[in-house]
Amino acid sequence: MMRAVGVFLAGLLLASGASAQMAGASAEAMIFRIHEAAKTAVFSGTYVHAHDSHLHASRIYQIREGKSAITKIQAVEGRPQEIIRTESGTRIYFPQRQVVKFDQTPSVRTGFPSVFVGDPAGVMRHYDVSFGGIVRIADVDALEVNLRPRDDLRWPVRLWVDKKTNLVMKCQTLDFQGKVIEQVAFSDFSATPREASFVTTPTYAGAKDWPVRDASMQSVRPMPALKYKADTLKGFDLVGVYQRPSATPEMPFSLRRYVFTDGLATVSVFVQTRLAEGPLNAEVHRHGATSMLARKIQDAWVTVMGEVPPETLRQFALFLEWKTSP
Amino acid sequence: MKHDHKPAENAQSELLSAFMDDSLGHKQAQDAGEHILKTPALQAQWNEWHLIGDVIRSRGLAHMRPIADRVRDRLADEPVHLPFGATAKVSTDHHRRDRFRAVYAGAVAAAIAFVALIAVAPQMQSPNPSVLATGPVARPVSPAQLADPRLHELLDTHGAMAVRPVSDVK
Repeated sequence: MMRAVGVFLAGLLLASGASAQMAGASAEAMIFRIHEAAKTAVFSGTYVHAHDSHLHASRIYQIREGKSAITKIQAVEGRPQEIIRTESGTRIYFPQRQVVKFDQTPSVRTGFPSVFVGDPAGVMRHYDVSFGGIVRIADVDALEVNLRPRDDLRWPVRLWVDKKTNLVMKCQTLDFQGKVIEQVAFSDFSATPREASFVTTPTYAGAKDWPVRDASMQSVRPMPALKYKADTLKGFDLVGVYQRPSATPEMPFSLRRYVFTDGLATVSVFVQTRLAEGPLNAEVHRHGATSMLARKIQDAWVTVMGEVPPETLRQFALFLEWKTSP
Repeated sequence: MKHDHKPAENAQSELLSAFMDDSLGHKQAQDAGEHILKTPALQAQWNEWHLIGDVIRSRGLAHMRPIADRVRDRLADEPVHLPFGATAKVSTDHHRRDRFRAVYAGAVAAAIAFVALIAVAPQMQSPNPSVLATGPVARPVSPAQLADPRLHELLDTHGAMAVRPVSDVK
């Protein structure tokens, strides 16, 4: 008995020592591999996105063309819709209205199985990374990766990563009690690519002749500053400002978006005229892991949303300042 | 004491235990590893045993006694894994076997708690209570708010954990 206990204890000690080492350089390397895999891996599958009472399934196909990826996403329930994302932009096909929405705005966040935003090294500054066991997800052996925030400004996140491709098989955002508040997971997965002609071409007959509506936003450089209290959004960097032109001289834009990220979560600040006042108010609302609110600031309607706890968003929005300049 | 474990389940748990104790031969260990990976019930048990440390680290020192108690209770329900070299005489004497089970379970539970204390003590010395705070409860966005195209457009633009149905063009 004592030998068995001794061997078991030795195993635990070895595991804890190994965990400490992995929390260093190998954790950063793993984060980088996960980030790269989402951009370059070739795969197809079906994933399910769940939060609150919402459940939505989509089929996804990704191939590589040169150094860039082409991704096709099909909604498999509800209103038919197909998205084809290439280096030159994103096209969204609406077969019921036979119209295409085109967006060339630089993508800050492309969605599952991509989970990191911008430079993944930022993740190491704000989260402790640890590893768990191997479980089978969508018939794939996946390693558990835990990202525990170092403060209470952000949610904990748990990933399961395919040991072979380093693709995220499942991603969960948790609240501070460890309860899952939003998750996405592959229900089936294959590393075998689909034909390029299938992925790059819309499924719907005649789609190449449908009218195209441009929904692009222009990148604003140099990035205009946004005044707020820095410690309410500590660790989040401003990574982009985008806007749509205005039809009136009173406002230089019809919509401006400021994007902040800590490498994992993003916070957007949308500024519009007060006439654009929407259904939100100054009370924080939540949609899965995303908190949101809106308030009038001077002559603008400002909406703030992000995958952060409600109190983080509330404090940040409380100290936002805005003044429209000509 | 009731002995209501099914023989097949006992064999599986014994295999997992032997694998963890490193008491299998090389070929047996290889086969066992593959079998564990293919068997969801064994994987779940493996993950539970390995996650004990994570639970202790995440819940803080104050929670270690209940954890140790849970481990001891759980081990008490497990079939007795006779250590290498033990004789069959122990398994036929129910009273001695029950005492053995209790001692074994208590020793392992205490060992787990002790190792977790040593392994995680520095981290536990300054737990951040605010990380455990509940925070204000936010009202869910209503279906009517979500259906509003003004909010839907901003949600589309912000993006989400996964691409979800995008709002239609005007």
